[in-house]
Amino acid sequence: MLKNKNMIPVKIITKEQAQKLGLSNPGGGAMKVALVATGKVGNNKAEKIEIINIKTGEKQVLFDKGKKFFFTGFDKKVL
Amino acid sequence: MAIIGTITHITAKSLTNITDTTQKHTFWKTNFNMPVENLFGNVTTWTRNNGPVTHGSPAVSFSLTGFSPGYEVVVFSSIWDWENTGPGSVSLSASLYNKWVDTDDATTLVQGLNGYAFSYASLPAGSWTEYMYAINIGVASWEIDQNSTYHTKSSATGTHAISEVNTTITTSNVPSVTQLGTSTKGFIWVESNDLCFVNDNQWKHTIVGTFVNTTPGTSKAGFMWIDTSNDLHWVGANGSDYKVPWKVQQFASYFSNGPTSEVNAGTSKAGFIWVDNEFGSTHLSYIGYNGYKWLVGSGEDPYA
Repeated sequence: MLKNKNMIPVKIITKEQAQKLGLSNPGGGAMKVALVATGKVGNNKAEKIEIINIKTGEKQVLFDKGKKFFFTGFDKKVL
Repeated sequence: MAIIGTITHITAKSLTNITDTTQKHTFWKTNFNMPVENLFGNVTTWTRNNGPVTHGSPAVSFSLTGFSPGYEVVVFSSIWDWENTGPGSVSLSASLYNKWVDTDDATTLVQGLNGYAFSYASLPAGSWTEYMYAINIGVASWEIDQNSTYHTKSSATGTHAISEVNTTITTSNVPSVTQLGTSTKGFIWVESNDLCFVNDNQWKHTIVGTFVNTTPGTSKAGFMWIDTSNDLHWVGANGSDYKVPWKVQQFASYFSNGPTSEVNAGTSKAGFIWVDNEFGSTHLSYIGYNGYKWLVGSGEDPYA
């Protein structure tokens, strides 16, 4: 089976070996995201939308009365 | 001057960006805390009391038939809304709270916001402003672990306060969350025609593969390899070739902790496979044919 050059045999390693090779770092976490919007009474569509980095409080405008902003992620992309 | 404050709770199986529907994350029956894509990128639409996403299959009662411990269940969105009925502008300065609460209606399971300071300097008369925060929860002894009634709670104190909203969430058919112990952590094997492993949270997970063909034969049962498409294959006890039903090339999660970039180990590391303790510690990782790190799990595809 594994003589085919298009098949790579797997090699089971431990998570510690993976960490030592720089392939993995322990940790992670649940999704955390906060968003703010404002609008006019009588219109359920927001006129301004902001996204907030929970850790730093940094805000970024995503949308403002027809102007379009593109969210590219905060530094380190961690909220 | 009058302010009307309300809180909306929505508990759902998935979130999809309203503007760009290709940006979707499914929580229901997927592995713990998998990397979250740019769900809120390019947002141009926000619907009041709902936010910038479509909440998939919103409900307050969930049957977890077919679940394993280590699977996510749902995501809970809190949406705080203040409406200024006028006549003048008002300033908001509130502390926001939301959390998942255990069956005793008292013990916090997952804390979301815990006094987050939200302010709005001058909300004009005839305007509203909203704040949204989402928290996911899964099956584990420290989260959902029994058929019962759980709670989602949100409130705001300060100016202008909103009384706590308490929504009951009912669960049924919750699987056992008993952990196997540390001695078998990291084991990987073929059982019947499935790929099994004991993940870093000490639960046995079973990947039911996609049938490929009957070519290998029973003498090759238990063989595992990676193909040029970066799919992980194994030979089942019946001698057939199976491959993983879904996979994702690891990327930097936008909205959770974890690696800040993808991992390109290089093709010299292709084939390395291990039970990983990144993200939610319930998936398998391997280096694919292309030299990048790939993630697979026994849960359903979080990105479908």
